[in-house]
Amino acid sequence: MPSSRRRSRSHGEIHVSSKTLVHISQGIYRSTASTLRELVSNSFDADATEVVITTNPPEFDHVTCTDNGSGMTRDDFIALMTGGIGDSTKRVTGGRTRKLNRPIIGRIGIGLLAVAQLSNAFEIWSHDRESKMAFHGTVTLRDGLSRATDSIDPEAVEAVPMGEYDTEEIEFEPTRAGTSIVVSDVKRGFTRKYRPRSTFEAPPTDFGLFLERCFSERRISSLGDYWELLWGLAVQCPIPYFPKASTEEPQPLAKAATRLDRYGLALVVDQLRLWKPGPWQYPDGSTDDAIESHIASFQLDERVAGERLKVSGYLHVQNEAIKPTERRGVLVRIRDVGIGGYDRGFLDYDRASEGPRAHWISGELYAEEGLEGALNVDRDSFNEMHPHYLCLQDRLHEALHPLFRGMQADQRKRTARKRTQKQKETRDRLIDAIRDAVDVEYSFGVSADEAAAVVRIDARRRKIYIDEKAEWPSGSATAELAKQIAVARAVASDQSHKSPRERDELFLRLLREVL
Amino acid sequence: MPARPAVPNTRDNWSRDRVKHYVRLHGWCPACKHRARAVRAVRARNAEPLRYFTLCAAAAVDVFMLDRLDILPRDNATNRLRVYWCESNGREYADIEDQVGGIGFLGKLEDILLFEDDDDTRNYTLDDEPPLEVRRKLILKDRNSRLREAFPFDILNLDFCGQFFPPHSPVSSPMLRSIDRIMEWQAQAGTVTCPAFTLLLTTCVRRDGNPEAMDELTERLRGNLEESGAFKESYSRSFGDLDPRSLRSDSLPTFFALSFPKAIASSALERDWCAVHEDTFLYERRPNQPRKSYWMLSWIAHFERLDKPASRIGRSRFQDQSAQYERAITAIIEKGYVNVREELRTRSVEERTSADLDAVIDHRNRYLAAIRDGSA
Repeated sequence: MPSSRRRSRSHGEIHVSSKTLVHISQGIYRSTASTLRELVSNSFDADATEVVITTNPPEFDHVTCTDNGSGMTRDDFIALMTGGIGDSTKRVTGGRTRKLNRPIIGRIGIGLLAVAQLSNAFEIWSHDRESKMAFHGTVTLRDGLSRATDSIDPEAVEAVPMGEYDTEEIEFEPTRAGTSIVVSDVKRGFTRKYRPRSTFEAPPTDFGLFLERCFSERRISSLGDYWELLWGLAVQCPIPYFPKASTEEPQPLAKAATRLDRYGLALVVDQLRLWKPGPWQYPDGSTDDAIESHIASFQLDERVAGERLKVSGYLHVQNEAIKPTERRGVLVRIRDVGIGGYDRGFLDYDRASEGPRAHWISGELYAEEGLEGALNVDRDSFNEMHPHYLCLQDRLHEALHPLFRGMQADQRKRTARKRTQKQKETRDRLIDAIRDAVDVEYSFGVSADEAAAVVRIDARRRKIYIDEKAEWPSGSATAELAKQIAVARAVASDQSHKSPRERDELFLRLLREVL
Repeated sequence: MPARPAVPNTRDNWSRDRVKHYVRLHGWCPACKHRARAVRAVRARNAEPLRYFTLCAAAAVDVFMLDRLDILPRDNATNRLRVYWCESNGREYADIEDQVGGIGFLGKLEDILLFEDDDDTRNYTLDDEPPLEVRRKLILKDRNSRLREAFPFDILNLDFCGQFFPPHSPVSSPMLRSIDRIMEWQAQAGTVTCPAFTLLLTTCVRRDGNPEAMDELTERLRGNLEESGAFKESYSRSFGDLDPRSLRSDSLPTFFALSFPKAIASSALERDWCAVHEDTFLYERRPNQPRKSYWMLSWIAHFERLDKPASRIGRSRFQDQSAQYERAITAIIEKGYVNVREELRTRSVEERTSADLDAVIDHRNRYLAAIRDGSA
């Protein structure tokens, strides 16, 4: 019997504790490249045309990041420190930067917290172009912040104290307009990761030479974590493509390349100006076969869950594994910023059935509209349940399928070509050996006589006929070997003027050549 | 929060300053060339490049001047400059690292050099992630040990912007003790690695310097006058009056230009280095308020290692070293100092200095542009 008592109901707004933000600040980025990428994105949003990062290699005991952007005032900074983190209004103002009309990358205003992942204390200098005012600030985050935060009663405090800051106004210098962050107390993990255990190979100051060195290795990580960091920044940050030597960029890339050129953001890390490596920088043939490659265009423009999803890009396909391995897979960019590195899983494509061919594709996909809702807070990964992600995944897999099938067919053809070539070479060697032994120049002919022996010697025409349809052992290599042994036997037997012993010795001689 | 008055920009940009460049061109350049030749002569076989340490500030004019003259080494594979430098201001530091590269030390040189272990730094390591205060000390310790490993240097360009004897500081000021530490670490490097080196030492001289330190310099000068006949003779010839207090009150910069290098030479001798005086340059700086004018003094000297450590030498040997020291301090007084502003009144000198400065700045800018377009 149902109860006659009414069940109590409740309704209300959902709030997130500010403790959450503190925990987030302690580590959301997967790699140092992603952490520094956030600082570069901040500079991009501040209309900087140059960002300089230094890490003092090979000591790696500090990090500096300086841009020539619009800068910020002391009041802006204080507002940020006193509750403005995670409270960005950047997108509210129309989603474009004021001076250079760039699409604003920052969404939730936690970019500055990236520094917290590198250090517990940092200094900031900013010269604000508009107000012509400048300040110097020091920020010290509380030690053991995450542990301390756990013990805070969220009802007792409105905001979680994360640390302290100090600021002082300084004289405005036009040549130093922009913002500079100096982290002298880098977390030990950073130094330990990058400080070399043995010899340190400093990268060249020429990006072309840097790329050459990267491409000479199977994987960039073998050159050290620092090289990997530089590579990560080059592929993820919204900087122009490395100038191509002669040819135009592939059509699918032309729009993005022009856009990145127009943004004109120069990123210099430890005296190395970084560029985005373009698909035209794949090295030429390195094995016996020249590398064959082509670029397939990728276009997606649909309405998904009420919003437009527009993605364009390319998939570079070649007939050999792409080097370095860090470039295998597909890199998705939102607002021209790379989301993590190249995804070797092609957004969860069933690669197992493709075997090594999965290493032959590299691509870049630019989300021009949509997909941002699928982005996780770390900006390194996606919410795989989001309809935009799922749509992109489907379309990418649809695009990959024929590419893989085409690669498979090409591979078969190439294998057959190689087999024929190899067969010709070994048969030529056998013909040479026969000529040396019996002083007759034979050649192989095609026989249609099914009643004849499987190997027939026509001394008058100086031809050797092999019945290719006979029941040779299975396996192309074994079958070819058997045919050549049979030829050797037939040639030896054909020497009727020789003694049985001499014929056997001739057979053995030819056999040595064949085997 | 009420706005505090803006802190004035203390970064004086001397990169375009001809007075400063006169010292670089006529003092530092010849001394560095001399040292580079000497280094090449002894190290031709093992090809260990010249080691240069500088407090160069963001403009790094000294670095690019020496780079232009091919005195500073570059890495063959990467084309990066091999220079060691130190800077305490983080913002300046970021600029130097971007422009010069090399090996930088972030912090005040005196703090790094004079770091001493305490209980905290003995009991913790940076891997322990200790509290901030301890971490700061450990960072200093790390920099101290890295800097020590970088020693010895062939040229040390210590262009200090502050005073050696600031008011209210102890007589044995941190800067002075830093020089002692440098001499010590240079000496520890071994005779083969570092038989000699060049010191370019710049400091400012103000009237408000620590009077106790000035008294001590005066007393030392008086002692030299009593002990050394040659020095007394030169002093008398130059200044007439044999009372150092008169010189101090009549011309503080002259007094300082004489007594300060002598004090450094004396300290060096205790650490087995014999100073060979090269030159002293002096010029006045006049900021907006005339009463706040001060002088900049640049002393250039080569230091040669004593054949045997002073503590182990016999009496006659000691007499030799004393004679060497006497010659050094007498040379300081006899050679006098170069009055830079006076020299720059000669048009041809001024033009040559300006032209060279332009060429150095141009060289620097071309190098930086090459980095920016990726073709460095």
